[in-house]
Amino acid sequence: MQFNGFVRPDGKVGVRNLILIMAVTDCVEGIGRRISEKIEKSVFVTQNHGCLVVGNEQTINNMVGVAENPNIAAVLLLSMGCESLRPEIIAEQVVKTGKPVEILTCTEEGGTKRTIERGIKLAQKMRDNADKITRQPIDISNLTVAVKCGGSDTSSGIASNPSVGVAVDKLVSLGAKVIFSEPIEAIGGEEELSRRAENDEIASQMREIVSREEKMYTVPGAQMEFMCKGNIIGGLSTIEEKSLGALHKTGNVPLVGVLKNNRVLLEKPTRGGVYLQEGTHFDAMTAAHFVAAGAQIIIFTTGVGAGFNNFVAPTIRVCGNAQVIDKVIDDIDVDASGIMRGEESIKKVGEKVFSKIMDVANGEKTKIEDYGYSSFVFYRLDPRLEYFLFSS
Amino acid sequence: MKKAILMAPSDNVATALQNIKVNDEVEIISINNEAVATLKAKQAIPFGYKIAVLDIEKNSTILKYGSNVGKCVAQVKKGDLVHVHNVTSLRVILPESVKKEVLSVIKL
Repeated sequence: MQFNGFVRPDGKVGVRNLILIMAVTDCVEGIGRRISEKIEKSVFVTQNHGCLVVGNEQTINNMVGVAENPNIAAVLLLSMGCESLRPEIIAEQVVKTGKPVEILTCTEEGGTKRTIERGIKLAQKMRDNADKITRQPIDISNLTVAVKCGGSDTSSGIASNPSVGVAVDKLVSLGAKVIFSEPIEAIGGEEELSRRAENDEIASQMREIVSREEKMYTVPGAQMEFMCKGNIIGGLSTIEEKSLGALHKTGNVPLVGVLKNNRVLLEKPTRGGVYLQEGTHFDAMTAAHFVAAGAQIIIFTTGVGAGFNNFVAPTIRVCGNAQVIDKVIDDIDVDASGIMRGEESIKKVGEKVFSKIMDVANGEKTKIEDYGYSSFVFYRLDPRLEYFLFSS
Repeated sequence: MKKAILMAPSDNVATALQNIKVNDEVEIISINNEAVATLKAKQAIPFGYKIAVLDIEKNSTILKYGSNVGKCVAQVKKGDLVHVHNVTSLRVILPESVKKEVLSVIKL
């Protein structure tokens, strides 16, 4: 099966053709936002962990990953000029993809206004060149789809997640790659995931990632809220119950890998199959991790939530709660509530999810694409916390 | 008749597919949409909440999706509502403040 995508010089394929304006530090955030406002189909990203390198490696790995994402045609990097985190650290990696990368440094350009003027010219040129790239038919095995749930209620485990699972099984059977993360939502599901792991090594990596996350949320004397009140008001009683429902969105196909996402390494899927990515479960941060690992499309299942949206990877929202759909029909791309009423089968809704994925890959906009997005947030596990929790 | 879905045959709780009132007769259906039992709701069970399909002893396991989803911390009778007031996780415990706030919202 094929979709029509934008082929990049490294052979990776985008479903969108965006210009990325990336401020390596938030000191130059205003400059980047101003440039992006003037350029069609451009997106702006920065990070908020300071401008240092040592201790901030996970952020930097993810920034490189985002710039490498095939939905991005070209990259303009901005810096103030005094950072440890020099833009070249990112550029040196990203140029290996063959896509255009430019750097502008505020103190060298003569200040904020001049950097903005120069940036608009450079980015517009990138836009004009990117517009010359046209979609071409390409095999579905070039697709990486990430699955995430948010605002879960019990309809998630019964309707939206299982139907997405059907679409995932189909994607994988056709050679596509699928990523899920949220290791906290594998707590209680380890047996099931072990059974699906392609080998013992993958099962043991999965257990390690999940047990680290469990340790993060069970530090004596440091209580953390880990599932939102909406989940519980929606009928979910425990993390185990939430997890077992959440895992349905990953289908039934084998778990073929655990993707490292830490200060040493940011791994990407290498072949078709389902992958667990190391990371967190917070929506915007998890989306950034998915984009960094190369996901071109995100599927977001929800019960009581709705409008999560990412601007690099178009986000398809699937909901199984009819009361919520009635309120926010304009935000929901696939209605799975027929399953809850016993009117539609999981398989049938799964086919609708799959065909929506193909439509969006071919360029169809999701319901709220271009209507405002969640911030692009880089999660970073503090290496000091990591040391105290896992090494001592 | 009101319906609740049993996600696996071994489960001791089913999930309400509609708002269920006290004393409503409830049809328990399987994931293949087949009726497997009927019972009377002893408490109101809101949409998406769990109803006990058997008596569940304190300290025993709550089973959903055929898996252990938590420990029962109070005696539960067939037809009772099963939620954070009588179930706790065995892995990561909800902060007390969250539990208290949620219980006040859902008026249990």
